[in-house]
Amino acid sequence: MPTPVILPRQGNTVESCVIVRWLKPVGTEVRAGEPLVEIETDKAAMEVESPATGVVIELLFPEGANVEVLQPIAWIGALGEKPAPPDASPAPPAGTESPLPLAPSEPKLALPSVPSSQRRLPAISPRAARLASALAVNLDQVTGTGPQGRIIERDVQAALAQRTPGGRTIPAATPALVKAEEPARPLKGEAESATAPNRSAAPDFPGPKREVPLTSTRRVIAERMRQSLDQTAQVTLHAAADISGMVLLRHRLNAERQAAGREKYRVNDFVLLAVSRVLPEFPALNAHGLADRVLEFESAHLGMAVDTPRGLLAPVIRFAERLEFEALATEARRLANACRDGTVHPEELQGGTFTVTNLGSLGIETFTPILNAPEVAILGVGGIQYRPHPDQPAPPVPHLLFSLTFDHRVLDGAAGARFLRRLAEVLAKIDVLLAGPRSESETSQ
Amino acid sequence: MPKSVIIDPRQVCQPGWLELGRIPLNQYVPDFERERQHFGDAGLRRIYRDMVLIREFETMLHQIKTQGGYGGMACQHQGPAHLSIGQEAAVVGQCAALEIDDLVYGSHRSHGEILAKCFAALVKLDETRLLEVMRDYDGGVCLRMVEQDPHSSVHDLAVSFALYGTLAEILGRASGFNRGLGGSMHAFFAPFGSMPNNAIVGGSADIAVGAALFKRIHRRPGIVIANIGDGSLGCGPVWEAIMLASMEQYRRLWDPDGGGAPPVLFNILNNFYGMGGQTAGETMGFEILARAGAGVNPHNLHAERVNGCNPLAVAEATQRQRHRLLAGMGPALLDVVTYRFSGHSPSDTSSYRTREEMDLWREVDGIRAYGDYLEKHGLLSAAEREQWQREAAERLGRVLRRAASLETAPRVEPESIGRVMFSGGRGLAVAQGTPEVLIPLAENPRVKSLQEKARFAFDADGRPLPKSKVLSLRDALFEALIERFYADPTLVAWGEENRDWGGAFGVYRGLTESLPYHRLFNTPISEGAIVGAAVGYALSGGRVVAEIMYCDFLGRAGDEVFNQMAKWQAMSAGLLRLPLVLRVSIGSKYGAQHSQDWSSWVAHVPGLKAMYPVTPYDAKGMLRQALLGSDPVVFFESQKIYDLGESFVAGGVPRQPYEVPEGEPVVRRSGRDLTIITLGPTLYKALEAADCLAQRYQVSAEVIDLRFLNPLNYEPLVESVRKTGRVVLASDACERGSFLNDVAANLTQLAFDDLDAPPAVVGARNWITPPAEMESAFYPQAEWIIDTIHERLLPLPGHQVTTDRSLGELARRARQGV
Repeated sequence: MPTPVILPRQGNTVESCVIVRWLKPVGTEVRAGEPLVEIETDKAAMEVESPATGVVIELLFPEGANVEVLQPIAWIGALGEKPAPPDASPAPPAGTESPLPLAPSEPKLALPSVPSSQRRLPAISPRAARLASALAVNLDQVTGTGPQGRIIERDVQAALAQRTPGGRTIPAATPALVKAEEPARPLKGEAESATAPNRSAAPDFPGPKREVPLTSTRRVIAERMRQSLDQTAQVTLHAAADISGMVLLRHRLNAERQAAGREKYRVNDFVLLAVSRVLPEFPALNAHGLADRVLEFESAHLGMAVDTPRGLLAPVIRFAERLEFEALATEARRLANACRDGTVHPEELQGGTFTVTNLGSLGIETFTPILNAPEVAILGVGGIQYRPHPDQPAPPVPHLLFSLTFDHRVLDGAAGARFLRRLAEVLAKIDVLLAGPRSESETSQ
Repeated sequence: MPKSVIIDPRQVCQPGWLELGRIPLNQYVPDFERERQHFGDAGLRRIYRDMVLIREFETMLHQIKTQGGYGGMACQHQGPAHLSIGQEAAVVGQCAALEIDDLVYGSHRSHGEILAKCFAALVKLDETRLLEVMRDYDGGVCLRMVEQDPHSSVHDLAVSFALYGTLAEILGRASGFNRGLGGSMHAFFAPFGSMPNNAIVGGSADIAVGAALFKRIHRRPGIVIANIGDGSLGCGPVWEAIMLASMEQYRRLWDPDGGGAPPVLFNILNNFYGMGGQTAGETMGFEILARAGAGVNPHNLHAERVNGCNPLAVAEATQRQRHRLLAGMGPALLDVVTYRFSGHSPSDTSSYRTREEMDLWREVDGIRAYGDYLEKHGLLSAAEREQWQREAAERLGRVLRRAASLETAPRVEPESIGRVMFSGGRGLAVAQGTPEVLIPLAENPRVKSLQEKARFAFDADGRPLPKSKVLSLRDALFEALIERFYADPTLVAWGEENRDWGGAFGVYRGLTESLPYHRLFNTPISEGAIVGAAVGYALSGGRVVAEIMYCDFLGRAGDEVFNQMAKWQAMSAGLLRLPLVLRVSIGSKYGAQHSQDWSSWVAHVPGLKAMYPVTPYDAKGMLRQALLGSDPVVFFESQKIYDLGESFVAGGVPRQPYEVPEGEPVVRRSGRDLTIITLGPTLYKALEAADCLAQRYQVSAEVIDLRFLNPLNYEPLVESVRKTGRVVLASDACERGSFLNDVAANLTQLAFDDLDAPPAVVGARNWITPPAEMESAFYPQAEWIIDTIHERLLPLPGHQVTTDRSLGELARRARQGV
């Protein structure tokens, strides 16, 4: 009896997933627990494991298909076995439309075979083909001079030179070789023309282009960003905080950590710490702005913007105000890594009450972040700026630049300003926050 | 010095008669009172119990193989099970004479030997120590399985532990003695002196000699036994092992206080059949196996035949040999007569022997006869015999229940095998101590003379210095070696012509002055035993440099290199380390059997590291790299370039020790238009080709020296090929099956989109190596490389080919098989 592979629901709000890649084609053996398919939700990529040991007897969806969760996507059985009749498979959840399985008689996932008559003759090397594509050289006119008449790199370069009699703008990988083919042209002059920018030599307008389909992550980001700007009234405040103490402290701590072979603390770890401690004092900023009401949260669930190959993600450090510094930094690092390598759980990307986004490490001074709706505030962390010390002639003092975007529908400028001022105070004395055991500071209050 | 042993023609041409001396046959005489005194009542009874347990164990395996279960418990086993039913007395008797430090290496039919050695060893340990051994072994995985069942004592638990660890190993479970990676024919348990068993017939013989050399050189207690079969007397490496073990130099030339010959016993379990071939009557001519000792040395290897159906006869003979070995009088040989009732394997229908013969041996079955002997003397009752038999079956039922289920006793995660292929250790071997040397390093004559030599091949103005004034590649190897000899107390070297002569190619010249005999010695012309003994020495905890004089002789050591040296780290699941460097010199000019680059063979076999330096800087740095690791390394050298000075690394070969990073190819010359990758001395031909390409065709070639075969980092290769888009690979190995085809295929995968042409391989012709004067028609020449570039990668304007490197010719050669 064949076993269906059910597309799991990865997180409470995930309704569908994209089949990214089948790892086991039809007819291959698979063991229970072995990864069968890569899928992607709008938040993360993951693998689905085979529920049974056997042979893949049918794959129900092609790669790229968007499939609703909790329905069969493949069948595992014995070799030669037929998939169970449709009524034997678990019914799809009510109200969802069952996607049409591809007809089983079709070789669904086989590579398209190219009839030999259509194959391009003569051959072209992969390197030459790539160069031709990048420079938009029409290969119909090119004569191959490689072995067996293969079009090789120098042929594409020669064709390009012909098309643009004024000279070649593309730096040649093998100028000497081209010269050997065209003995009339002196090497020296060619080398000069190769380095001089020459507009007339530009390829056909608009030049080569590439079509990049939006990933599902990108589509979600696009929609959220647009919605955020449409539905809220965003204002950004800028401020700077003296971090001279923090710089020294971080330097000292990291020297110890490095000696112990542990990962260094980043500036952002200190910012997250300060925000997590300050935020509970400002419940109006630690809130969700809904259509008819505001939800203020007691705990700080800190969203943290992470740049990943699939686009921007904002994993959430839950109950950040309760985490000791080390735990907070470790969690931040774990989540960032999980986002980057695609193993972050969808649940970990939800439930934020306030977001911190840092572009300072990429060399940005200040910027105006967009709210991660329905959150009502987001803190942008910019670069470090050295400002003259108030008591001249002491050396300049490092300041960290902040931008706080808030939703003016539910908050006013003063609230945001007070938050920034308090954040700057705490950061300036971050060593106190780190040194004093929390119980002591509580009893002294 | 052998020079002191004069071969006098007057003496060797004297007429006379060679007296071979008498070889005792079955001279054991029972003496119950003496035996009782020696073994004690409990000891004598335990011998019986151990035999019963072993027979039941093998019977269980037989039932699993033939009936799919045992005692109502289903169990499937696809792997081998070479059973020893009938041979129990031979192995239990042997172990009754041994201490824990005595090591037993065995064969494909060694389940009984593992169990017998473990049972005999565990009674010698107190409860605390015994529990410690079991707890410490592989994180206690095996112990946790057996201790789930109740046991009357720690020793009782240890009996089940031995049965379980062996059974789980045979069934390929992660809780087996070797995590299931060794299996039936390779299982062992070193803490009790049960050492690796070998699936290759006679494979344990030379390994045991190496282990005995370790004991001898480092004055460790105990002897080493090679349990091999009568069939193995037909194997060359067994004779090589016997020759290596009985060298006269141990007595005549080695330090007289060292303890004499290596303490090794060739214990031939003579069951009269090598698989189905009857050794005495059909496939060999010795008639009585013990006669083999007469062919070896004046004391006939102390050979004797002993009745292996009587455990007390075997124990007595083993003990006698053990005393001789500990006194340095080895090696020794026992012809232990025994008989297996079971087939060679479950598929054996015994078509080569008669029922009548088998019945005759059943009548003298050792277990029954010994039980009767104890019963006659009142040490055992009939009821007890029945009870022990029943208990053995019950115990094995419990043990099987813990091992049979894949849920409770799973196999290892397959990818973990990759993690035990190499041990990756760095630094000194396990044995500590002060390296034994004869003179201070600075007084070594060669060290002194090398002080005067230039470290770089060119003078300050870039003019080449005369070769005699420059530190050569062979000098660089010497520098790496002698530094380690003065630092690593376990390091020893052996091979042919290693001492006095200084190695056939002068690499070791000067070592003789510094090292006592037992750290550097000549061996017989026995490549198999040279490598096999090195394996035994290395897995005992020492570090050894063994030498194969010509790569062409690697075939003589084929099993030892490809099955032993390559496999034991992984077959032991990482419990053993093999710090063994095998220097292999690749010849030229000496014709078809002395001029072949066989590095591709080595690269093909998993478990070996392989390197091939061709500059003095690399020779020194890579040999040190190999000598500091814990893995087996095949270290290739080329006789074409032993006298070459360093011409790449500015500043020349450093005087101080340094290492070349493992697996990293090196760019010898950078270029833009194409990449030439070489392995071995073809580097120098490639540089010639690169000069020509630049001068004649204005083509800029990048030249990369692979240096390493395995492991190998492809990143620098890919980076170069991405840049140039073209790659040709060249080495002296014959083109068909050359390792470079592997590199070419991988580069095609790794850099496909950047390629302007498929990678092309230039190797030696698929011929015999012709006479020295014709070698330029056999080994790749600069012109072959250029012709290949012209024909297959990048037609060079105006180039006239001198060789046929066209694709048509490639296909023609393949079709012709040349």
